[in-house]
Amino acid sequence: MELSTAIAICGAALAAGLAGCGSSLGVGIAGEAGAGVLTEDPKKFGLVLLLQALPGTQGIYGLLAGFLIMNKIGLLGGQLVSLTIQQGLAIAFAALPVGIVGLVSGIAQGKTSAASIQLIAKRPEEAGKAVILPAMVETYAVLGLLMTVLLLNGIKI
Amino acid sequence: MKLRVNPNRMELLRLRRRLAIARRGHKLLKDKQDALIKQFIALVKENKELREEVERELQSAYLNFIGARAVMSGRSLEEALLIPGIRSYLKVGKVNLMSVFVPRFDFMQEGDPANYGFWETSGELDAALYSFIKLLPKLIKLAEMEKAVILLADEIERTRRRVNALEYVLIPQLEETISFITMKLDEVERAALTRLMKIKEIVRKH
Amino acid sequence: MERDFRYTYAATRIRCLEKELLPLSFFHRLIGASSLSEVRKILEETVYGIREGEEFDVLWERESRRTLSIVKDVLPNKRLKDFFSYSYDIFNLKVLLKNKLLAKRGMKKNWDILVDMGTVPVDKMISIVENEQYVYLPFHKKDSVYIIWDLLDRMEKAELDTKFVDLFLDKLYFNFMLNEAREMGESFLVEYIKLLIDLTNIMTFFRAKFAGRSKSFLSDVLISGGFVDEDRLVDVYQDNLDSFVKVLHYSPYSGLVEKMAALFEQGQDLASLEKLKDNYLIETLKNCKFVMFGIQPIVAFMVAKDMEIKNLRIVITGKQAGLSEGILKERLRYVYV
Repeated sequence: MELSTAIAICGAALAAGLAGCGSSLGVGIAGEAGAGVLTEDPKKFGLVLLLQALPGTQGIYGLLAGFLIMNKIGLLGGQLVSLTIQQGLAIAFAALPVGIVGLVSGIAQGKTSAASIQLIAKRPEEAGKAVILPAMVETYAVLGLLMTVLLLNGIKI
Repeated sequence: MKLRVNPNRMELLRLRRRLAIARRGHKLLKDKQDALIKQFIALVKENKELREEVERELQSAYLNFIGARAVMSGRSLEEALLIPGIRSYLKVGKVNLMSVFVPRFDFMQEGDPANYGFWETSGELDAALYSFIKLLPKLIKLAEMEKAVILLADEIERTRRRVNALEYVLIPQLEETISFITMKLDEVERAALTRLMKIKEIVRKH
Repeated sequence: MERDFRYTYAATRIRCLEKELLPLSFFHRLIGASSLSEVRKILEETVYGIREGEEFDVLWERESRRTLSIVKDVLPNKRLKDFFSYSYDIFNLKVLLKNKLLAKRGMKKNWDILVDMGTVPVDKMISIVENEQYVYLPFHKKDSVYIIWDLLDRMEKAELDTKFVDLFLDKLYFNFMLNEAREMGESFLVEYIKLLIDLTNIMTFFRAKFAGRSKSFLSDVLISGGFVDEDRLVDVYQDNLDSFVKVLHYSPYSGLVEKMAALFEQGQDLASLEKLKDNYLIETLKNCKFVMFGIQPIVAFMVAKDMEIKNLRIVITGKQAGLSEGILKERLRYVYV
């Protein structure tokens, strides 16, 4: 395997790893808050689960970006495409938006979700608003993914 | 009703003396009664004022205390009041008021009513305790006065009974008896006179 | 990662429980109740759940016990759990030391009011005080021994009043709490304790003035460690209240002390001052509503619950004493929700 491929793989790892970290932290925070609510009021399980799952999307985006990169460099098909160093680096850089944004937005969304869980703890009738707030954070994770996808598409091999 | 006495001159003299004494006693007692009533009315008036004042203050002190009990937990309140900060001394004496011995309380207190810390205790408790402390001497003064009023009332009652006994029983009795004896004596005198005249006439006829 | 995430579970659970807190309208309903049996009926609908034939006094203790156990349940570590129980230790210690003094005067001991909510079990506390092994107390080992010995010694020599048992132990307590909060790195707890110290000091200032106490007494009893330097309060003690207000002008308490000073000059009504103080505490802690991650909601909940119990006691004791609705409404403290 060439160094350039290794660099590209590093990009894929970053995309999936960072975004996964963000998601797991976010889901963790929201989960703790969820446990707090469920201790007092187990009937809210459905809503709490939805809110807890929201920060999980970043991980999925990261995974998706990782697959795209693997696909691009032929890691999935078993036939490695030969890359120049420049191409490898470009792929690694392209992976960064979804990774970094996933990490930060995952945590941020986790916090918002936890706060929203507190909101439904106090006012169950405001559940709709409670879901919208963390969903706003999602936008930027999606934008990060979009950027990564566009960049990957732009790189000619 | 007259007394059962021998209607003789000795008795008359004795009764006259008794009547004179009774009259003087009656007058004295009457004067005493008047003075007592005057004193009594003054005391009752003063007493009433003090009682109203005490009741007013007691009410506000209780209001404070209720407040303190409401804002502090039972345990904290008991802890705060565990060691009393005030020492009170009461000396009981007697004074002679119009020949009535009324009690005199000498009350003294020293120390600090708010004998506890400031955290977890309420200022309302301070206010309540300070007003209780200010109130206690007045309360004791009130007790002293009320007792004096009761004793005075008793004395007035007793004096009035004596005055009445003198006025409506003893003096009329004496007077009646005296007039009875006088009449009796007159009667005897007249009888003696008639007898004498009768004897004289018999003597002259012979 | 922010360390405050340790309290996410706790804060959220507390948020659920905040729903149980009784709103102002509830208290007005209670005040409007025509009889005590109606009061009981209204209370039955709440978490207080008064049972048949139960005295009202039982409720308060049961509820504060429940609150403490919830708080202890949600807090993540033992040190924090203990933090909120030390006040009961100090309480027991005060009772026992005072009992010791009572026994010296030949009076009967009264242990009934000891409470088993502290970090040290009651029987152990009794043996600590009876055997004078103050080193086993949870508060700064060496300091507390020294302070208690010094206290008892000076009591013996009649240099100090018995009230200094409370005053010294309060100081010890706040000092210790401040230290604990600092060592745990909980800046909010530090602020909270400082707030309590300041409010206690401000109230002490007025209460000392009310009782006509000396300047040196005030400097002996004010607690150090608050935001406001206690010496500055002592300095203006003998001046008129304006200079007191001026001293606190640039502190967070300027609004509070202005109102307090005005009220005090009107009629020395300490009850209203207490109410202002309680309201200030609740009002300050209301900011905790906007804090999602951190220990703030938990502390605020405890204080809110305390205040709620206080309010209920005000209403029910007042009802029992036959106070008018107007007086009760006036005495009512702010509610957290």
